[in-house]
Amino acid sequence: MSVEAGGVTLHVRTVGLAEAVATVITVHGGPGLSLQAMAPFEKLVVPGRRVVSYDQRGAGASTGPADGDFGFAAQVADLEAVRVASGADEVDLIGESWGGAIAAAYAADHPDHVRSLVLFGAVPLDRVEFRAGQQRFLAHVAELQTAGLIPQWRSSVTGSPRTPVGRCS
Amino acid sequence: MGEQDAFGEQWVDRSAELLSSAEVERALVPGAGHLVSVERPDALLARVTAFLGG
Repeated sequence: MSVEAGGVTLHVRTVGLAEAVATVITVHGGPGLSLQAMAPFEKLVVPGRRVVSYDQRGAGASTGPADGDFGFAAQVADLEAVRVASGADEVDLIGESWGGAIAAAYAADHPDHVRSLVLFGAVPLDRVEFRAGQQRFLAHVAELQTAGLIPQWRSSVTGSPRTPVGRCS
Repeated sequence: MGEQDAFGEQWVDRSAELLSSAEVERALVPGAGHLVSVERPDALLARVTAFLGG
C-alpha cells in the first residue's frame, strides 16, 4: 500500500487481517534504514492484531521530499498519515532509536491515538553527548555490517529536528 | 534497551521523564547493543509480546 503525505509517497506494509481489533505500527531507525529492520515484529500478528510498517520519507521504497524536509514535524505528520490510512483510531507504537524519537514525538502530539508506546535504543537529546555515543555506536555498526546483520545505509536527515518533549497518555 | 547500548542507560531515564504521564516499564536485554532488534530479536520480541498482552 502507498500513502501520500506531505509531498512524499510512503511505502506501507500491513501484515494481518484488516478487521483486527488491535493495530501495531512500527517506526524504523536510522535515519535511512527501512521497514525491513522491523520485520521481527510481524511475528506479533495474531487473529486480533495486525502489524503495519512503513518506510520513512527518503528511506526504503518511499520517495523523498523535494524540499529536503526530514525534520520531526514532517516525520510525525507522515506517521499520522499512516495511522489514518490504516483505519485504526488507536494504535500501539514501536519505535527503534531514531524511530523511537519519532514515535515519542507522535505520542506527544497525538496522545488520543496512542494506546501504548514501545521504545528501544533511546538516543540522547544533548548534541554533545549524542555525538560521543554516536562514535561508539558507529564503531559497533561497522562490526554488525561486516557480519552481514545490517545493510549499509546513509543518513537522510538534515535540518534541525524538533525535540520530542511532551506527554503520553 | 540493550545492555551494551553505546548511548548508555541514562537516556532511558531521560525518555521516561519526558513521558511524564505514562506508566513506564523498563527492560534490559542482555547481549545486545543499540540495535536490539538485530542483535537479540527473539528476546526483544518476547518482551514486547508480553507487554502487549500476548
